[in-house]
Amino acid sequence: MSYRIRATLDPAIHVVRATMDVRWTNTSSRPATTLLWHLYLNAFRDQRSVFAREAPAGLRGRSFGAPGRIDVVQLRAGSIDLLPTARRELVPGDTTQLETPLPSAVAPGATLELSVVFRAVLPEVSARTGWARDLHVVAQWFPKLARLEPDGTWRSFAFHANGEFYADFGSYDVEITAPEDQVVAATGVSAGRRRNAPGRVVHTFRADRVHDFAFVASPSLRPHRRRVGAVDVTALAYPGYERAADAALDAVAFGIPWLSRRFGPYPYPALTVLMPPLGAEGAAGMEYPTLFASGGPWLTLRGVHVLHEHVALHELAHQWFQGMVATDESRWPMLDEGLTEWATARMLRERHGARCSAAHISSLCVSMDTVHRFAAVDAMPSLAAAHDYPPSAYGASVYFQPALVLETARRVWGARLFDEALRRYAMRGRFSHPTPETLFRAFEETHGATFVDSFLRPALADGVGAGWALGRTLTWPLTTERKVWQSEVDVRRVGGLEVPTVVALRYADGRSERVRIDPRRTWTRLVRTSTSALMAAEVDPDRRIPMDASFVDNARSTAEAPSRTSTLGLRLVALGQALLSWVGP
Amino acid sequence: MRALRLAWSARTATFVVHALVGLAAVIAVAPISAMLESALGDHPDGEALLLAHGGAAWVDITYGWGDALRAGIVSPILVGTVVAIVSGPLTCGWIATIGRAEHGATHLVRQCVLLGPRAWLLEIVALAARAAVAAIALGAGAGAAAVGGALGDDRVAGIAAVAAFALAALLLIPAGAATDLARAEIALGRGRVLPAAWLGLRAAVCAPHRTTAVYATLGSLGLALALVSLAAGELLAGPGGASAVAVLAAQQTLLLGRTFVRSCWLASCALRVARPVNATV
Repeated sequence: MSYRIRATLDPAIHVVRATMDVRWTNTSSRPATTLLWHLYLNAFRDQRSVFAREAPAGLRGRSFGAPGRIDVVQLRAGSIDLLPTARRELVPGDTTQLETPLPSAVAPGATLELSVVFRAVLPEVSARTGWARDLHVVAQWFPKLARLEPDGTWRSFAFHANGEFYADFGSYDVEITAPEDQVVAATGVSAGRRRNAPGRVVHTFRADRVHDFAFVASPSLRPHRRRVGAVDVTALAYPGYERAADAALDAVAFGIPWLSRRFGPYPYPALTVLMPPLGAEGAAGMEYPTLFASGGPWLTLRGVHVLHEHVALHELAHQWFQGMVATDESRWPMLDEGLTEWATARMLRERHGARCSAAHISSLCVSMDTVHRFAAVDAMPSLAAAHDYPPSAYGASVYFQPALVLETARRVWGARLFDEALRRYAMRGRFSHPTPETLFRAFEETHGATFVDSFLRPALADGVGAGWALGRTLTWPLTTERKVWQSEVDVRRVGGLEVPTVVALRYADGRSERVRIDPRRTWTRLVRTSTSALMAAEVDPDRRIPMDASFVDNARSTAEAPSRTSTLGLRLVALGQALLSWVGP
Repeated sequence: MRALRLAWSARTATFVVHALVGLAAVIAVAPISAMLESALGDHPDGEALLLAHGGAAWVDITYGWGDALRAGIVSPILVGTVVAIVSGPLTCGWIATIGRAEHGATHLVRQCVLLGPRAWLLEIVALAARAAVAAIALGAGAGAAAVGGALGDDRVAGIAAVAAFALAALLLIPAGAATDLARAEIALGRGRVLPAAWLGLRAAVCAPHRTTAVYATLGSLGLALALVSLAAGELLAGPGGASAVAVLAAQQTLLLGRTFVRSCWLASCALRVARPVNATV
């Protein structure tokens, strides 16, 4: 599969005119009688598109602006015009797919040459692609062939509000002609620039083994470069965003070697990071092969890692889980978003420590566990198709709950095994299109079938929860001299998953012990006879189960524990007095 | 020094005002305190759990105690609104008590009732003036952002907006001083509302540097004392720390100091009312 595109960007009217030659090989086992194309820019044509119907008020709080569309002017196979017989609305009202019957079947292994002429009118950016201020983020902009599965069926879907990537790997040779003041960056590597007319420059880019191509252009972008191993990383930022660009570059400099060690090396010589400015937030936080849009304001807040750093690391991790391990994002969005979010949180933990991995301001710390647990409250099962989720549950189910499930697996069953399982999955899925079964198989090899059947599959596919809580926690003397004590602690399993854990018991004489709990039992009563009173008990004291819905019920004091001086109420009163003095007398 | 002596002689009224604000604070935070005690009381880490494990307990509290948390948030808002409503008459009564020889709590209450209607009218005028100042501040910020944005640099635009907003917001200081001076006019006899407001504004504007400096200094000192009282609670509550009574005593002493600083300022306003309009405060 190869694309050769000759495009001209007219930034004044936000239009790209292009010709495209496609060389497509039927890699399936059956003759192909039709071709299916994605015309995803038509999602922004009007309110009848699937995308607009799924997100009528826009995505991520950004409402729709000026519309966009793609007009296919000509589409030929050799000398035969395919447009007269084309079907344009595979979903009523939606024109983001195009089906073109072929005049004769293409046999397995045979190659077809196609030529296309098209015009892309870019929308005002509200989601992922378009223009804002003098910036053009040109994504989902050319007619792209859907993926023909090995069994000869086309896997094509309309452009939905969530989940858009699934395509064959291929090579791209793209020339972009733009006014000379435009700074242009794109997927792949620059193969030079030349002037072709007064005031116009042709930028050439080439990319191999990628499944998409996007480019950005603006006269205001300033490059910030850094070499990370063998990779030339360029952050493109508007004036004023220098520190934000540096923060993104720092994250990328940490992330590329980290991700390469675990999931295979970053194979491309270049990576471009766009920092969208104010007004272009709709384009932020999006991944394309060798190019991603990070996010965050110009103001970088020291210690707040969940802004620039989180976004940069997340989009960088997508270079692996989506860029190279090219799963079907529409059918199983968790396979790229969930794994990516888990990897992002792990990188943040390793950079800043687990407790302060999300934010560290003075003595206050917020962990990524906390962020994920807050965000995953409305989670549904994680392995559904992207468009099956209500908008409010998509992030919780696809990003955050899987991250908690995977982190639980790593902490409970061990980092070494877990890392090996994910490495196998990533290496096996590299430059191919793995499924959830590929992931489960990798874990089965490292952890065994029981782990997959009793934990990983029900946690991800069925949304079964896990956790522990303490019930009655008592201690009393057996003798009048109070030298022999009896203690009872009720431990209750919350959720259906059998996750091993321990209970820590702390006694008045300073002694402590840890007791393993049989995860198959839903309720366990620990009975202990000791020489001193039980002070407190805590289940999962090391917080190995971040997917536990409640941590407060994990520990209890007994009546023998000394009462603590509770000053929180007093401090709240003092704070209240201070604040009321400002509105009061 | 005269203001200090005057404020000291009215210490009973000052203490009553302090106690009323303290009582309001107790009512305001009671629901959230009860909720936290109920949520964390059995846990061996107690309230320290709120800061442990990267704030994990907040997930439980937010979702497991949602209704109680909402009540805990609404309560300070309601109490704050009530305090803001009675603030005008109470301040006028306080000034009247400071400015006259009668210093008892009964006198304070009587003055509040007597001055109430006019004090509320004055508060409406003052609120309108403050709204106008806030509109100026917002407008200045937006204007500066637009000018900065035209340069194509979001950072310049942001900094310009914040700077313009801060400068305009400084106007709130003389506005606050003018309100107190007008309250003094109401409290001490020449008390029709609009003339009092005008006199208060005129007094603040006639000596802008001195009024602003005095008001800002006393305000800053009061804020510092309030912050120190919070820090004192934090320090005393540490491992092996003092008892709740000690924490409460330390905080209340410092907050009472803040209230006394405020009474000194109001005493100076009361003294100002007896002088010619263009004299300094």
